[in-house]
This record gives sequence, structure tokens and C-alpha cells, in this order.
Amino acid sequence: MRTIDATEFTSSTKLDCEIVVVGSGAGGAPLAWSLAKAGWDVILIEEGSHFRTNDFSRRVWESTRTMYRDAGGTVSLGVPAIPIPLGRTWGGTTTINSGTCLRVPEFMFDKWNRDTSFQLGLQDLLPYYQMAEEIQNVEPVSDTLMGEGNRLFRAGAEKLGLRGKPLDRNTRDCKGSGLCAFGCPTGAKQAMGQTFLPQALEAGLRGYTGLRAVDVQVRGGRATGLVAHPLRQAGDLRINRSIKVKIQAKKVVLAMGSIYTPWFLLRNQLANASGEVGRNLSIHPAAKLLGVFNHDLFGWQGVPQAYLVDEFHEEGIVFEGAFIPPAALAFALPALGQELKSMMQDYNKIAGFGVMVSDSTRGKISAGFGGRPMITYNLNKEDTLRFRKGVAIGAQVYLEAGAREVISPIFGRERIRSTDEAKDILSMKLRPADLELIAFHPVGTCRMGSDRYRDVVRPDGRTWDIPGLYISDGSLLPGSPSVNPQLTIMALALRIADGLNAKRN
Amino acid sequence: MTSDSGTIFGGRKLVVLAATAEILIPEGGAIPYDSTDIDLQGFATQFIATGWQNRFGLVAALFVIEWLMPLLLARRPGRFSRLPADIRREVLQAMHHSKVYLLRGLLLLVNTVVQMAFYSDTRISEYIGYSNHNPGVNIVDQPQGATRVEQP
Repeated sequence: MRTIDATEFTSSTKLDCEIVVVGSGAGGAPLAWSLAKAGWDVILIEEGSHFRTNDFSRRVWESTRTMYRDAGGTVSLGVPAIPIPLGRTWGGTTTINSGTCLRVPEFMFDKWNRDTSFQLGLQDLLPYYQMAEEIQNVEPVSDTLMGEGNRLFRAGAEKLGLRGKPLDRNTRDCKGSGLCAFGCPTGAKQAMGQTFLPQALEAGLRGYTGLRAVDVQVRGGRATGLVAHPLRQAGDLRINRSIKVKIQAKKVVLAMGSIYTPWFLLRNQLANASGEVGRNLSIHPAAKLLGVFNHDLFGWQGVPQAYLVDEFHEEGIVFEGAFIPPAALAFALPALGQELKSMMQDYNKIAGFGVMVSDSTRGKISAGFGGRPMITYNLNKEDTLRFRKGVAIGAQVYLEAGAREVISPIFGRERIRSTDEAKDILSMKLRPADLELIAFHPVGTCRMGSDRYRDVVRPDGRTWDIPGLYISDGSLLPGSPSVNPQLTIMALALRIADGLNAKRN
Repeated sequence: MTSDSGTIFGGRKLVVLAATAEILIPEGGAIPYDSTDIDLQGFATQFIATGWQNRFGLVAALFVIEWLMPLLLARRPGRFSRLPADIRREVLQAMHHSKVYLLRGLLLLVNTVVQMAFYSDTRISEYIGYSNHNPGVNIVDQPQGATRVEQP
């Protein structure tokens, strides 16, 4: 079964189904899969194009331009400004992420239950975690596939007595091509496009690509379908307004992600009686740590994100592997001109890791202008200090592993050449503007919970305000999960689908 | 090369971009290629087609570099693109090390475009020892990128 490219529609059309899902990522795909297998007549629409394994170009710019929203240039405005790369393709961000699949730790569930009206615990999601892990073959990275940058960080961490472990990832027969973030060229990464979506299509799901939802139809206070337009051509940013696709459905599920689902609701003035749509944005910001060694280590070979150091997890600091091709690394180095050329000549001597902070900072999605959401986020002092600690520790780890210097994300302290210099960071006065950050895990903007005055979505996935309108994506989470969120988003999606399936039966 | 919307990155903007790129990726040194060895115009054309915010950001950054930075950072009135290379280098280094966050950010945006254009060229990435065809990994080589899906 194939997807249908809506950009080839030549006239307006009406489609009928029982459930329409908007978005094919970690929230939309498992839900659509479960519903289709249970016999629902499901339509799933995706704005991006459908790239199969053989379509992935393995080239950074080509992949970024065609599969990332804004060519990777989605940015939160604030201090500091933080890029938040998002996928815009069949399979959503799962197609271009690192594949890490981790359950939210129990202490974080306890925190959510204590601080918010999110009622679910690890035990509630356990069967859904297990289902998602089995379908995607989640397994720890083997030593042979671990990228050298990860091995070196592990070695340094072990010398310092820091707890860590290989990361769990959704892979089958991984070859270590190191191109996870640009579309896995061997089909090993078991993202939505390799697992839930093909199975859903076989079960009768109708999947449309190149189709952008613009509004939900509400009749008598109930969601009855949605209106969409195809893009002018595959990959285009502009829609063809002369062709309208009306999809009649009994239920509408928004799964566009933590940035675009709230933006859609705000633009269309939907489901916001609580006033909470778009608020509570948590992005789990991250920063680079690059170890420069005296020998070639080919950091781009093997799995880039293979190891986790979670010694400081309950403080909100974790370290995970990361590495990128030259085109995506060069501008992140603290040099210009000939000095940068010299650094890039030593590209094969560079190892990469990242420090992530489970943020207490909260940002916001607004309706924005020019057809785009406005994302605002200003890093608070608490998280700034967490980064200070994380960078100091991470630098020490790579130095302990033998790095001659560590490139840090701190303005004015970009190059750390000794343990003393690394430790010195702990006492420096650090401002948010001094940090160069990036974030991959936006969540929280349509919170799920039992309080209709504080939450946007009920515990079963229905919006509080509009019967028949559901949300299934990262926006449901009450805050940073402190780990990569995709597995939890999938688990929530499967749970929501289970609830719908029970009603059908 | 045209963008999807038919707009080519050219004119004054390209002159400023090229003048900036000449400093960011100069001739000689550790890598025997420089900014004149790549299709900067083609890359910038594709970049501005990725969204109005990317287009606005790049054009705004180049405007600031061209008209404001020489006077502000090097006390030299005049257009950046018409200044000698050593003065241009002084201006960009001052932006790079500026305590003013916005100035660093504007240069970072231009530098991102330039460096991505440069190291996307396989001659250059292979020169520094990178291959997107990982040795030992059997990847089917495709001559082109995205394909459109057939209708059923």
C-alpha cells in the first residue's frame, strides 16, 4: 500500500472516514496504526513528502532542506535564541532524529504527579512502552557500533566514576552509517516510516502527503472533520488554495507536534478555554562538547548517539553522544578564516558529545504572523547554572579521556585545555546569552491532565473544550521528560488509541 | 540556479555575501579550496527559498554587515564589501568576539550559510577525510534526492 501525494490533486475533493489524524510522527503514527488495525476507517495526512530509504540523499544540505521544517531553522526567540530542529516529512521528526528510545524515569513521573494534574505513572504506560519497544526492536547500542566519540566519553566518564550505559535505540541490523539525522540510508532505524506506518497502510490506513490542515470543522460544538489544502508542489511551503480537501470524520486527532499543534489551535481559536494552549513550553535544551584529540578517531563513523551518562539525572543533567558531518559542524566551531580551516582539517580528530538540561524554564507558542508560530523562550538562572555544571563536568570527562582541548558552548570560554580550566567554569559568572544551545525535544504546550482549568487535554486524549477533537503528540507532556521523549509520545498515543478502540468495541 | 519560488539570490546581496565569504573561507591555508570554489549563489538561492524568515534573516544580517559594522566596529565609514580584506577581517572578528549577543548572532547566521555551502561540496569534505558513504556500509547510491510518490 502506498501513500497518496495530494500535490497531484487537480480539483477539490471530499473524503470521508471515521477518524482523521494530522501528522505522521511519534504521536500520529502509532495511534493511526492501532486504530487501523482495530478496524477504524482512518485517514492520516502529512504536510511533508514521503521519502523512502532509497530516497535519502545522505547529503546534509539536501536532507535538511527537504526533510526539516525551515531547513532546520526553526528558532525560539529569546536569550539565547535556540534552534529547535523539527521534521517535516512522512514519519515526522522520527525520520530525522537519533533514534534514542528511553522511558521516562520513575522520579519524573512522581514529579509530574506531584506538581501537575498529569495522573499517569510508569505502570500506566508500561504495556504501551513495551508494545512500542517490541514493534521498533528497541535495543542497546552494541560496542562494535558505538562511535569512537562515545567510546572516548565513556572511557573518561568511567575514570571519573560517573554512571552511564549504552543508549537504547530503535534499530534493526544497524550498520553504523552515522546518518541517523539525515534519513537512515540502510533502513535500519525503525522510525515510524519503517514500522507503524507501513503496517497501518497494510491494515487499511489511507495516508496523504503534501497536504496541510488549515482548520477543524466544528458543528454544534463538536469536531466533525477538517479542511486541508495540498501544497503547490511536493516540498513547497505554499499551499494551493484553489484546491480544497474536506475530510469528514467523527473524530479529529491533531498530532502536529508541540510547536504546530498549539499554533494550529491558536490560529483557529480552538480548544483554549483554559488559556493554556501554547503555554508551558519545555524544550530540553542541549549544548555541544567537542573533544579534540591528537589522533584520528573518525567520529562520524558508527552510531553518533550511542552512550548516556546519567550520574546527574535527578539534578536535571544528562550527557548523550552526538556527532554531525562537516557541513553541520563547521559553523559551530569557535573560529573564523584560516583558524577555522585548520580546525576543520583536523575534523577526524574531533569527538562529540552533548549535555542536556531538563529545563525549569518555560516558554510559549503564540499565533505569530506570516503563517508561522512565534516561539519565545528565555533561559532562566536555574537552568543556566545547570549548564555551567554540565559543561564543567563534560569537559573534564573528555580531558580525562585524553583530549588536548574541549570546545565548549560558552562564549569567552570556548576552548578548555586543562582540568583546572574546566573546574574554573563552576565559579564563573555565566549569563544565558553566553550559551550556544540547541533543542530537540519541545513538549508541554497542550498539557494533558484532569484539571479543565489548567489542562488542554483530558487524560484520555480528548480536548476539554471540543468533543471529537483529540491531541496525540509531545504537547501532552506536562514538562521535560528529562530524556528523549519519542518513546513516551508513542506510548501515550497507543494508550489514547486503546481508549478509542475500547469505545468502539 | 533558481529557487522554488523563482527568486535568485543576486545583486547587491550576493556581492556582500561573497565579500563576507572571502574572509570566512579565505584562500590558502590548511585546505586548498576557498569561497570562490563553491556555488555560493546557488546555495544562497536555495537557502532563501526555505522560508521567509530565513530569507529575511540572511538579508538583514548582510545589510547590517554592509552598512553598519564598518563604522561601528572598525571606525571606517563605507560599505563593507568595498573595504580591503584586512579591514573586513577586523570587522568580522569583532562581530565574532562581540559581547553584544545580536551581533554574534547575525554573523553566525551568515557563517552558517557560508560554511554549510563550503563543506557540502564533496571535494572539500573528502579532502578533510569525511565520506558520507561510510566504508563497509552497503548503501545503494541514488543519483538524485527526493522522489515524488506515485498515485495509486
